[in-house]
Amino acid sequence: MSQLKMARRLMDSGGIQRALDRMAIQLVELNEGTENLALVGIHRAGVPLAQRLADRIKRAEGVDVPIGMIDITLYRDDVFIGLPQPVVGRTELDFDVTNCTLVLIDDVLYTGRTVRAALDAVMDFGRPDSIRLAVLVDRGHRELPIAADVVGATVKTSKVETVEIELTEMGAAMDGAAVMVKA
Amino acid sequence: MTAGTGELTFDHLLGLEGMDQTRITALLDLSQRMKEIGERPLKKVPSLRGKTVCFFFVEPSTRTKMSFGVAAKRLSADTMSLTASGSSLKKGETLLDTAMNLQAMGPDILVIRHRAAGAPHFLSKHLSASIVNAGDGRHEHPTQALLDMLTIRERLGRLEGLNVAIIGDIANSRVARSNIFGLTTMGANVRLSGPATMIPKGIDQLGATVVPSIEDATDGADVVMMLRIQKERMGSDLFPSDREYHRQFGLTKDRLRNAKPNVIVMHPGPINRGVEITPEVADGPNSVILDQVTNGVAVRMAVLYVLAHRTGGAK
Amino acid sequence: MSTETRLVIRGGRVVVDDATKAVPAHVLVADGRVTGITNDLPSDWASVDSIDATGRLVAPGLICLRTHVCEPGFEWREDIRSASQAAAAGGFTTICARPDTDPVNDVRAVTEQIVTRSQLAPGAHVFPVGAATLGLKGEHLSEMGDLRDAGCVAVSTGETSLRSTRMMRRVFEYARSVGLPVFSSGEDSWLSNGTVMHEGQASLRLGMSAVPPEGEATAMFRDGLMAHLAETSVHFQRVTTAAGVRVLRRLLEDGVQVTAGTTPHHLCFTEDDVATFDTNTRVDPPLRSCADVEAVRQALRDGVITTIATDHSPMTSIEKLVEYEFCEPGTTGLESALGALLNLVREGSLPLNRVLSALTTGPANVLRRHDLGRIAEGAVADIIVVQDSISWRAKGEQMLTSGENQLFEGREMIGQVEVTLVDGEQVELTPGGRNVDFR
Repeated sequence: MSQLKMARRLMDSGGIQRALDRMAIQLVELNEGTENLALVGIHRAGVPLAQRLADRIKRAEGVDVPIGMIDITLYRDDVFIGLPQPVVGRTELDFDVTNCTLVLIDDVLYTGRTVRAALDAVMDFGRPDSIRLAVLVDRGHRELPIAADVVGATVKTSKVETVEIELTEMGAAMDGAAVMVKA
Repeated sequence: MTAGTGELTFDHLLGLEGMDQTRITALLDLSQRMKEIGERPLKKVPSLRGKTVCFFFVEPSTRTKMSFGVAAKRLSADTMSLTASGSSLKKGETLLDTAMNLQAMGPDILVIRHRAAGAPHFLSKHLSASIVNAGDGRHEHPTQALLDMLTIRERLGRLEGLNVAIIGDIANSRVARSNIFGLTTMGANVRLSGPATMIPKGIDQLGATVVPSIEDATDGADVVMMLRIQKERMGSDLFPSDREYHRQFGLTKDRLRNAKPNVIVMHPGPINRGVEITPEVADGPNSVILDQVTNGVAVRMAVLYVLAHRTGGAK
Repeated sequence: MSTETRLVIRGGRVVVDDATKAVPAHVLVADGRVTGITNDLPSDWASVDSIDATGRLVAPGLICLRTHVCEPGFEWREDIRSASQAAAAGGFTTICARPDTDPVNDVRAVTEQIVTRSQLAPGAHVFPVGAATLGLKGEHLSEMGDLRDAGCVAVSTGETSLRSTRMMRRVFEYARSVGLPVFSSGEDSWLSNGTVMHEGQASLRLGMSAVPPEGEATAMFRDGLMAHLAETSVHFQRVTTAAGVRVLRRLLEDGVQVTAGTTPHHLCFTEDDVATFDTNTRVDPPLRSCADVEAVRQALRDGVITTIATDHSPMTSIEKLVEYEFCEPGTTGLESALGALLNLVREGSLPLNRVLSALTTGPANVLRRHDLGRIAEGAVADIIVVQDSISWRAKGEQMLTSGENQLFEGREMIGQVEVTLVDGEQVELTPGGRNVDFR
């Protein structure tokens, strides 16, 4: 893979904190409370984001909402088109998904194909009442009719750019979000 | 925790000889992920949709074939199957001819079991499909050893440094051979025991230790792996009788006493109850024989998944 | 005098004295015999037809004691014509045809057929070897006297030693009375039955049924003792193991009349070459361990092993395109033997004189033919001219044998046979030389 360099910074650590604070509130409002609410992070960055959102809901509402994680590798539609072999991560949904309001959480919403795969994966576990989508960054360029219910930040990007989210849980020194281009 | 398949680029799975620690670990990690699919309410992912897996069994097998079949279906692959009985192999067609015919039907992966060692290697040189060795003669049975290692790792948390006793007909066992290759690579101490007629001369060259009695093998063992006595494959000159075999080399509760308290007992199946193992042990608290069967599906899913990537990438 | 066919081979290095030396000389040939080896060409030879051998090695034609000519019965693999051509191309002027044809060469009629067909074959002499027992089954003696009269030069007990020790004794006794040498394969069939490779480190890994080297040693010891009991000699066709070499040395020490040979492939390949399941490595006896190869080479250096036979066993490629364990053993060898062996000489693994004598005087002595395998006055003018500094790679498809199984494929070879004289006449080589085309 070629080297990337930063084109512009989207959010610093504080920006991400504030976006997540806002997203947590919106999620509870959207669901009209925390009843039957469950958060599912999409591997990999969605997993720590789900945990952070759950922590915020706990602080605000005093409720532990169930959290889970899914890996969508086995549901991807681009597995056999010559990409390097993907890494298969862990899927853990320890609660009954049927009848809950399940929120899929990812770091960046782009073509929508990951979300499509995540929808298929979740449905294999049961029949949620509804599925919502929360993303930290929506960068546009959708290829499927998919939209996020809760968005941290909406940014305009070009297709040659990539959006990179760094989180301390994933080994970064500091949280941050930036648009990158090929060096 | 993620399971890397990054290290895993296989054209074929022919055996465990020469497969390094990184690759075995990656395959076992991936198998662990695959196992989770089997625990879901809907035990299927669309990953291999549109891929065709062909089972070509030139030697009778029920469980291995079924295990591969379940694995393929859980990944949404289409399967077809040819078994030797009633097939054209009896009409004097050569193995290669039959395999070329199968290939013409366009499978991405060919899973073969054959009574001649090296048959999968032979086909891998002539066919474009990926070949999986599901047991070739007395040579190798790589997915069996992988599922054994997965089971051990799951139960005991590691493979390195464990004392693994393999007892029985080592000479005629492809399960033993693949396990010796795999387990020694992963750093386990493999001990072998059985009648001298069934222990190949110089087998210690492969990194295993030959011990004289079953008691020496089970002493301090973390794992005791019993091999099936393959009556159909042996001449009458390997052991005098079932009765004698059981008394000298059968695994009984008594013989497990000197093993580690949390020892696990394994058997590749099918079991000859009362010959190499007593029912009491086979069904006892230390037995993981049925876990092995469950893990077999997971390991075969991992193998098919990795190979399907190769065929997909090549096209 | 004027009807005499004369030929002179000029200016080569001529191998003489049991291959111990190569001297610069001209070789004079008249009516199929060597009439002189000289540095000064007699004046009446000045205008005779000549072959320029300047810078070349002029050696006795090679003799192979063990060749599968596949005729009668296996002509889709090879026939006498193509085998004799392949032999000539590889420098062999005499090949001894194994008796395990179909039908087995155990009666005069089969021997006569082979003799007749070989007289028409434009290449090496083909000497039939008869079966010592009917059908090579080890139950009844064959009519060895009749076989000898029809042209058999020896009798063989077949691929393995006879199971019955008493029968083995009788074979030696009867063969002595009809004056035929006995060839034994020196392999205990009880131990080797159903095996496809050598029992050793490679078979441990590959899990294929394997024969231990002791199978060769026990059979050799028994056959050696029986030959001694019968007051005759035995020739072991293929000694391939250190254990076999030990027995051979012991028998020689004890005064048993024993000679022994090996094959080019047992001098060049080991059990490790089986690892890829390449069916060309499926030979009988199987490829052995490194230590075995070294012991056999040492025996050859010491003059304990005195012959090298190609064990040329042609097959079609289809017959080798099968599972290793189901594959019949054998490799072609007539056209790769000399090149492979001279390469071992170049590597310093074997001395040239031992290699040459094992291909010439050694086998001639086993056949009790002192007019073959040597360039000397009165000897049969079976002579080859070898460009011995050329290096090339073995390529099965360029060979004259119809067999397509070439273990030596791609291996480095030294020396090219430029001229092959059989009975003083130059053999013409024509590719595609089988009588009947089966393809």
